[in-house]
Amino acid sequence: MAIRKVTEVQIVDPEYLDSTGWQPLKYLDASNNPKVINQVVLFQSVAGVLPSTIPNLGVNWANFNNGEGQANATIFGVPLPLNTTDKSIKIRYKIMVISLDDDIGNIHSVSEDYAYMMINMGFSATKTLSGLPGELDGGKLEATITVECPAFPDTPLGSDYSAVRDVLKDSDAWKAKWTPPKGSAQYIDPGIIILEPVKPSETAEHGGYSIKAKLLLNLPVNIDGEYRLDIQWLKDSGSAYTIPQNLKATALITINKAAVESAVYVSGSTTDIELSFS
Amino acid sequence: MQNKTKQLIASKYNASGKRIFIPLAIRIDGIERIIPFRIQKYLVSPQVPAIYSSSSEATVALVFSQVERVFTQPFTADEL
Repeated sequence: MAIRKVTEVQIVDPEYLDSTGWQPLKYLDASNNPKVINQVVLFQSVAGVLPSTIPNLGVNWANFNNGEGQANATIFGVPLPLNTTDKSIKIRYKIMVISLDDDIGNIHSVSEDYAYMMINMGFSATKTLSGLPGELDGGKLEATITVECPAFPDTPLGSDYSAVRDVLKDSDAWKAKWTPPKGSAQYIDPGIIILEPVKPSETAEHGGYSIKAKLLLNLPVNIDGEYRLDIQWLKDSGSAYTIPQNLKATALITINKAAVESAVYVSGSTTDIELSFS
Repeated sequence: MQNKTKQLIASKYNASGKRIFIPLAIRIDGIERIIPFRIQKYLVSPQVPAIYSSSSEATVALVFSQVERVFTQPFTADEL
């Protein structure tokens, strides 16, 4: 049997979620008419390659190859239902791989389950983060920082929901940037992440639904002054996205000072020494 | 039947214009035997169930696996 080679990888059956359910994603054809997207070409090779040599593939929904002669198709813009300013757009899709067989020709294979994608993920610049006390003492602060994130609603995803939600629970996906009053920032991994149930959200950036992720952080506090906490989302197309809100707290470290009586007179060889702390 | 790395298979188009692949048969000691036709195909699935991106771009990491299917009866490409 000859070794099969992959000639094409596509996103197929892409749909977006609106208030009534999943709808086919559309692009504008050459005549500016909305047309349903049949496929988005992620990878092409006429000769074919082994799958192990295919790198991570990227899709840009504002500029993609629709496999039908349009190399710069977009899902955004009038009269399409989606605009570039829309936040937290929820998409589902399947993946098709085409491999070349010498005997049969092209073999098409489509992934069984839907995969999900949120693009233009948006956060409120004022209401996303909470949980850092305003004043800090010395040592290590064990803080539970709440991050209100845009989320997929549960019902339209059915049995896929918990896996899609739990991507937000991956501790590798978050990082805290803790900047002390002097010196360089430290990047701290959250120990545990707890998710609250998804709920409808009126915050425009959330696109309808939000979920609160509680990040348990151990933050060192060694010197007096103002500390700044930024939260980063790392699973963002391979780069770090810093949430557009930060928290600040001021440390006034208490140092215990002991005072002792200036002189003690005793008849024997032992005595108590009285200390007072302030 | 194999010709070094290439398998042999017959095919014809049915009345609907669909191509039917037909595994070959050979007669050994007077008994007709079907030669199984083996085909490998790639399966693909996303590495993570969901991608969250702050822009219109996203990286799609995929996992490929290979499975073999064996046919002893006529089949169409839809059955692969």
